[in-house]
Amino acid sequence: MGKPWRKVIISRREFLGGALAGIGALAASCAPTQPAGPQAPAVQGRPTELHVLRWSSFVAEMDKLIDTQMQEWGKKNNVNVKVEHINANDIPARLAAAVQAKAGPDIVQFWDGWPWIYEDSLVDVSKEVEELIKKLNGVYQDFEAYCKVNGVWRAFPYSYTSNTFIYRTDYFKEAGVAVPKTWDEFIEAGKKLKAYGKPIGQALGHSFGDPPTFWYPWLWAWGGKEVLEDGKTVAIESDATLLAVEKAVELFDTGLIEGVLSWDDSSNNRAYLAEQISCTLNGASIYFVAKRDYPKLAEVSDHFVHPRGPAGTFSYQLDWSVGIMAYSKNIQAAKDLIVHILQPEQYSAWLQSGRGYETGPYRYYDNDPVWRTDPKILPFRDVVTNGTARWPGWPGPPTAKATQVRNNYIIVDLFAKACSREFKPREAVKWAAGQLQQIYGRS
Amino acid sequence: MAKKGVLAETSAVAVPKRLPRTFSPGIILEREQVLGYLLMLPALALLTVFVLYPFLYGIWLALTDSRIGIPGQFVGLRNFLDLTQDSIFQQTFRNTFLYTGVTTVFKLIFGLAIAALLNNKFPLKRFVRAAVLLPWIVPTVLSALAWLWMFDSTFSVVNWVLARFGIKGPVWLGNNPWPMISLMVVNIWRGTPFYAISFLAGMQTINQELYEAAAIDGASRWQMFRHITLPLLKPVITIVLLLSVILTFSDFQLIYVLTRGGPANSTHLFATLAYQVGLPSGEIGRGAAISLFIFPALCITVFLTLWYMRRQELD
Repeated sequence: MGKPWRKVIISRREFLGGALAGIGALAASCAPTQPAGPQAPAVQGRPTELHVLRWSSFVAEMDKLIDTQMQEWGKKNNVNVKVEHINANDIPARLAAAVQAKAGPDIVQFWDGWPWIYEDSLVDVSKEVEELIKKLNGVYQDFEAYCKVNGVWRAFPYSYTSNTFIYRTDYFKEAGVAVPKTWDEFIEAGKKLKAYGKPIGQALGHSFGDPPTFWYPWLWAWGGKEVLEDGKTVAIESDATLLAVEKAVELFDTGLIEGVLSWDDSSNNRAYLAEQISCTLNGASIYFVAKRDYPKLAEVSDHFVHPRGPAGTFSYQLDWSVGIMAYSKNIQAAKDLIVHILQPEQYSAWLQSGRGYETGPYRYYDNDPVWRTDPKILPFRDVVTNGTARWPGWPGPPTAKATQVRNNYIIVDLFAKACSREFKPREAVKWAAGQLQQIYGRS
Repeated sequence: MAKKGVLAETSAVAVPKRLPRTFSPGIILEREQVLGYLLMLPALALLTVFVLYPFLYGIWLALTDSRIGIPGQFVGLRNFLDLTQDSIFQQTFRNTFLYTGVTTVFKLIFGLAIAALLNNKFPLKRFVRAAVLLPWIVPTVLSALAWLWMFDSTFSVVNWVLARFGIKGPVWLGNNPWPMISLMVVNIWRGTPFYAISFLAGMQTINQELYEAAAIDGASRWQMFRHITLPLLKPVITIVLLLSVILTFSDFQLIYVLTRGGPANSTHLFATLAYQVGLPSGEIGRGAAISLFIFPALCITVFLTLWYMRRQELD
């Protein structure tokens, strides 16, 4: 029996005709069903679309609640709210692609000085933010520095993932160490704890959270700074910076656990929960996991805020803000949604779902009921309310250049290069100065 | 009779009947030259949209001071000149060549050895051949995550095993030169199967009679490999090397998962540095310039490889 398909002979002309028809049909099916252009405001039966891009929080309950709050608001206001959560380290790439293509999420959550990088791509939200500040008793200075770009609010201050030092009370006691009040005491504590077999753990690799939030305040506390108040003049090459680097090497050699040069943001969580270290700077996630999975560990854990250095007490908190992309076709709906979730009725419930993992940027939330749930989490509020939080680029503004310095890990690597013995401290400072000159010197 | 018939046919062909000229589209499509180009159009369109346009756009970006969301000004070669003065870029440049050079040599040696072994008859031959491919088939990010755990400074299984023998393992991803060595190990582990299977395919096309003749002449296995296998495998080796060098030069995933270029930039390659500068830092023009630095090196590699192949063919 012959094979039937061999009998089907298609002429070249028939083939081309069919192919063209197919392409035509495909093109027709891909064509927009309605004309492009600004979307009409929400009307009955034709909801507005809002796409929100957020990070995946380490506390899943917080993501769940904010999603519910947004969806409920959407239902009431005839808006389809699509909330997407992605890894924080992946937000920059998504944001960059969206800005370049002028298409993508309407609302984006980002951290630190991103409003300065994307100043031209973000909507002016000054009116709404000023009203919120008035209603919610003011906002902390680091948020103002980050979100108010050249006098215009380009993003809504949203939350802190504040960081403090979690420590083992039992190890400290057994090693004869008190909670350090100064960085010198911190170094001495490290020596005793390492000798005791439970050193301090602090990331010194390339990761977005822990390495910068520890090493920037370290630099400031010893008197070092990357630029002067003008935000342009590089000032890293100083005796104070050299002292900071030398002290870092001392801490690295005598107090830190081996391997921190390779640590990312999750390494200290694992090491602490595995009882390998006695102290580390982190958000409240370690404590929460301990409370949930290792209650005995939580019982012997507590927190303290940043010690003081010769130049003062400084911290660097992870400040989250939310911005509305200028390409959005639903700017008003986006503003309304963000203002809604920042109202006490929603925001307080959200804070409580995090049990203290996140802190409010507006002073109204300083006495939120969440801070009465567990005295051990109070330092996460105090490290914000004590006004020690600064930003990359301080004492200048957190400009796009300062964010470039941060995202290229120049300050972290200043210490890493000295600690790894790639450079001597003085050479490391010189290297950092060269890098900063290049970045700040570019137009 | 027969001759007459042939002549009659020939004369009929020699004097064709003149047909009226028409310009029907159908008739035009019947022409090979026209149809050939038409059939190439879809592929050409895809290449233009997905390869040529991004490439040209990348070149344009590299010649500007663009930042994300802000179209920049034309700055000529300033980005490239600035980069040559940048110590992080210089370190990245050295890293990339070292990483590509070392891993390529090891992948070549291991690939040849494994292919030579797999070319023999042994039990479960097919299963083993399939298993060898696994490191190459598993998504890079997944296997890199597994390696991340194995290299973890606190929980490294490698160090745990070494400790059983009384050896203190290094901090694989922490203290120099181990981070770069670790990355090379993972790259070699992942890339070797591609070499091995390609070489195996090449070996199986070699005529067995050559080996039989060599065996009769008393050649050892090494001599057979040296004087039969290797020369006949040269075209495959050249192509595999070409592809591998291109892929290794532009490696991103392994480094991004394992070290993100750290510690202190000691493991940055062109692709990871371009990403760090171009996206999180927003300097997309400079980032494009970094990634374009790969291009001349790859062009030279491709040219030399193709030139060598052409010479072999002519020989």
